[in-house]
Amino acid sequence: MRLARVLLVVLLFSSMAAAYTIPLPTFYPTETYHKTLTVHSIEDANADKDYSDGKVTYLYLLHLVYSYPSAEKVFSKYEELESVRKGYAYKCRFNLPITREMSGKYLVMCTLIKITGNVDINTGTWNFGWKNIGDDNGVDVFKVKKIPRPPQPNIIARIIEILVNFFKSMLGG
Amino acid sequence: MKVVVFAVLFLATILYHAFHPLMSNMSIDYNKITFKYTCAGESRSVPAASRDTVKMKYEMVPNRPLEEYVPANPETLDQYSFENAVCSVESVEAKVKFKDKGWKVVRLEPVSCSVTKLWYECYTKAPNPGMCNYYFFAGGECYRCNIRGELEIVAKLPENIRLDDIKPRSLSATVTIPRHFQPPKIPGNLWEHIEFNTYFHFINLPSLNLALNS
Repeated sequence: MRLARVLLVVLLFSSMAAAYTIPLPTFYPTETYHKTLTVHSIEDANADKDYSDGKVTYLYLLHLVYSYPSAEKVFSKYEELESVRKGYAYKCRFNLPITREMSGKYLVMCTLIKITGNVDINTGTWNFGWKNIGDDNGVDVFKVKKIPRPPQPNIIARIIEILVNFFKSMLGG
Repeated sequence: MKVVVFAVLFLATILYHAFHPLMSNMSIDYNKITFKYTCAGESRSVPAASRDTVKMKYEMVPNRPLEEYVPANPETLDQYSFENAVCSVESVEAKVKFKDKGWKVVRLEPVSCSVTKLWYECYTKAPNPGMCNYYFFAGGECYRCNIRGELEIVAKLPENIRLDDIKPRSLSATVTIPRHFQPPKIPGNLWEHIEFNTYFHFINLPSLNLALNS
């Protein structure tokens, strides 16, 4: 009996979740998506571009817009930073013109990336690694709809209407 | 006793002439090479720059300074900005003929210094890349190179000398060769990797599921 009650509650909540849809901001071509996303650094880091010791560190604030689910890149920008501090907020400002080719859902992302490089003395090549040092707050989703096709004027109906009116006037109506 | 003194003097003279010309010592900085250049391989005076000054050319010729290790290999020498090399002169001496006193080596007052020609000649690879100090510049390559070129010095003349009789002698100058600052570039495929991974990271966030699948 108790199990049945629990199952009923779970069923109720799941059906509520399924029925609930988040209204996504919707844009049409010719409009512009404006948004500022904020990401917080999860660690302290400093850029180190002095490569003479065989080590470098680069910090970037990454701006990205991808289509979903087709995963096509629409926009990307790398803003180089000299340092980041744990807990500090970093902002990505997006001003994305919506083009006629766009349609569907788009994922907007703002995050912090730390890239480290080390030289291999034997080969002289640089090897790079990277790490995401931003939290997960810098994200947004929006939708793009195509502009609906305008209704076609019904020429035949218009001709019939003109003819009916003409005959009506002829018959003295 | 006289023999010993004579032998010592003779030996000193031999050593002086063997090592005196062109003793340069080079220091390699982060983005430039600076070397101090003393004395010249060959020097000559050219028509006077003005009535009171003389223009002298000093040829920088290769000779032994074994410490001239350059963090480059012959293929990557273009990283050095030869055309933007600069020099400053600390002292310059010339043997000049005075109208009344005959020949004398005198110290001239330097006015200017310019690098008219400059190039490297690289030969063997250094046994140890650490000899270049900053050996990461050219991907770990360190070569023994000679720097060749020509410096043009303008110096002020003392009074009462015959202008045609000036023989440049020793020189102390510092030549600085800037290097193109080229930190290692992040490869394009790493950016692609970062972008894709960021995308998949975000679409897998549970908090975003409802929005993406609505």
